[in-house]
Amino acid sequence: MSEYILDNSNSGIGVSAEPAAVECIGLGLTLRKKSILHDVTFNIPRGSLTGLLGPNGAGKSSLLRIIAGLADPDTGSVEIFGKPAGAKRLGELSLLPDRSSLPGWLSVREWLNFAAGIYPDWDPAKAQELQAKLSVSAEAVISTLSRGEEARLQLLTCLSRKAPLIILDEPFTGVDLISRERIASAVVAELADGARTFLIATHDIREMELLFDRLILIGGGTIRSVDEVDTLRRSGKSVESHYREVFA
Amino acid sequence: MNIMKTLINLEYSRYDLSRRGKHYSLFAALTLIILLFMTGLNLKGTHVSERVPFIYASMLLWSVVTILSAVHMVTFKSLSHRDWFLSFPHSRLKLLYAQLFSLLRHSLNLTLAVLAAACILYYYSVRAGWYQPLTASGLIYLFSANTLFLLAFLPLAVTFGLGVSLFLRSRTGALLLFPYLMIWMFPFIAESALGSANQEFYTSAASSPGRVLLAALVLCLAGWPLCHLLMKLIAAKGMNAAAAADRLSAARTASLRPGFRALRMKSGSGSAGRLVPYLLLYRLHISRVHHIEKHPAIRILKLVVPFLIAAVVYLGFALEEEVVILDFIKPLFALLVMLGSIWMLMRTGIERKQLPWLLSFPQSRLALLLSGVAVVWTTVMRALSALMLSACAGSVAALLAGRTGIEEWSHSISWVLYSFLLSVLVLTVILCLLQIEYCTLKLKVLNIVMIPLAMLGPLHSFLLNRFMYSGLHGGASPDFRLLGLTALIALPVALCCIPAGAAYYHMSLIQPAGKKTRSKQA
Repeated sequence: MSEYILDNSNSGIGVSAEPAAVECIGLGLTLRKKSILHDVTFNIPRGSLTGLLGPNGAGKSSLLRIIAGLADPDTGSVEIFGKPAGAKRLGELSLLPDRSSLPGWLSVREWLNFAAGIYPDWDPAKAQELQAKLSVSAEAVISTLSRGEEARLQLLTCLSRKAPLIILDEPFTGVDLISRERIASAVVAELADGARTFLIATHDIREMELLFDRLILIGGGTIRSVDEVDTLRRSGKSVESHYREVFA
Repeated sequence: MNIMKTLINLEYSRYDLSRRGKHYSLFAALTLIILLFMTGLNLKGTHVSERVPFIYASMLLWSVVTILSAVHMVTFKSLSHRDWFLSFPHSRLKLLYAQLFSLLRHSLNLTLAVLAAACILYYYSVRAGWYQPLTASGLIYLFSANTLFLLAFLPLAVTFGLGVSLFLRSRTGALLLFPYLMIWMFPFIAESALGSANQEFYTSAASSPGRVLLAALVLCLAGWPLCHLLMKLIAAKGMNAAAAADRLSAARTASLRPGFRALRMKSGSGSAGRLVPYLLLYRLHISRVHHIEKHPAIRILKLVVPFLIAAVVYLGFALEEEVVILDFIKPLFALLVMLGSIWMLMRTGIERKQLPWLLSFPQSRLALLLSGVAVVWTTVMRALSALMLSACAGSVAALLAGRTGIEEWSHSISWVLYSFLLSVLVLTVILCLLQIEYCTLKLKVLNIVMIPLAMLGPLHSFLLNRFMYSGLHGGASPDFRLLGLTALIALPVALCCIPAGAAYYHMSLIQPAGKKTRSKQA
């Protein structure tokens, strides 16, 4: 089994007796006789911002769905903060799903009102603050929002919760430069107190390169490498060059 | 706000008619009541007893509420906000109950309209002198008993509809799909049998308000706990199947792939590229159906149902009633026509994600729309034909086995043939008429015809029983001339709707713009 469990003593994140935010052990998933994930093992320390990178079809979304409890693996297990993952743990994580929309028939204001009732850990003040910061118009109907606007609204929904684990699946897909910068800065602001753990799957390496403190590279359904970004930099590599080295 | 209440409100808002405009829901309710009243006037048995409107109300609500809930569950998998919904931090059972209660709220709205129509029909019947008016207390008793009965069975109907997810997830479950459909169709079969043969039921003790109250009590005591158990099962099995989106997204990607490939290959290859665009578009659309047909449940149904139909028809010939097999086949034909009309109504929603691509093809919108209609038509026609052939096979076997004489056999088979042709005509007319939907995007005034058109699917069998099967149990032969005349009048009108719809097909890409949109743009 290829294991990628870093020793946190070298990571600069600090040693902690607390269980990892996410711990995947030997995950396997097969769909229609095709192996989507194979023997995936890694952990994500609390308070880190981990990038899950890989080419199209690498298995990133499948992996995130399993971690979030929306799908079950065929083999292996996932633990969130030391407890088995699953639909019952959705209160502890905030997921921004890939290729999914919010209810298009509602206005932004209506959706945020619903969200406040649906999520027990909803923070209205935070939502208001993010609404201004991300420039999301309250009166617009969701189905009429541009891709960038809806991406910002989805991020707003995720970050307005107090969930300790934030999972973002391709938050930048189809989003313009200004929106990307706004999304990235909103994520950075959330990292300030170190109370939250971020796991972000993205293709936009350049955009997030400076933010990641850990990197998981996945390709063909297997983990190709797990690295601390600081360690990479000390060895003279950037995230992008390392990505090219692994997947070129 | 209570979490459950919020979830219910969120789900309810999805189909909330009042979001379309201030008076839209009122307009829809009034149109529905008038339509139901006019249909009720033509029901067999309306002149017999004051109980008839309420009996038909129950039959109609069972069928409609169940099918709406089933469609809701089946389409849930392809909802664009499904992942958000499933990642709400609440148990699947709670999410499912939110769906149940929101569907119940919609069902109650529908029940109010149906009950209003039933009351108007009763009043009209009394005024027309068809039967003696009840005393005030008698009327209140009848109304209360039937209302309580409806309220008691609505949760059962919704749960039963949501339960469809259990049967589509495995081969074993697929085997239960046929009895499931038969239970759902029970009112159709009962109406077919009661409406034509045994009208004594309407005045018998079995349909008295006392018995209805008793039935309501039994449903509350036995049905509701059963609902809860079923809900737990659906939450554990059905919702998990819906959450397995990797499988779904893989299927979704694959569903259009063969069609697009066919289109690309044909377009790029010399003589094939000159094929009529319509055929290429048809292949593209039908590839989705072919993909769905690969589901084990569908495969099993395709194998099992024809044998069952043939067996039932074979056994039916032993009964004294000469055309009893039609009482069984007719509702099945009606079911298929209804499913076709529902599919047609939902097509734009189902294809919304692909619509920008489809509309950007360099083919005429008429070819595009026509190919889509043709896919629904041919698919339902295949099912109708299979049903017809199975019935014929069963009847021929009965004839060869000496269970029936040649005269009786030819009489029955001519009615089955008549019923088949009638269903084909109704299917064609309904599918064409529904294309008016696209015109309503431009001409709002046409909304007035959309509700009656949408209700044609569920209600057409009642109308056919009244007008087209009048000689069925009198020993008369089917009136093919009436059928021909109907086709002559209805088909040209219906066919005109396709080019009319095609002219505005592209407008389905545009979201209805409300005040909020405008304020955003401002």
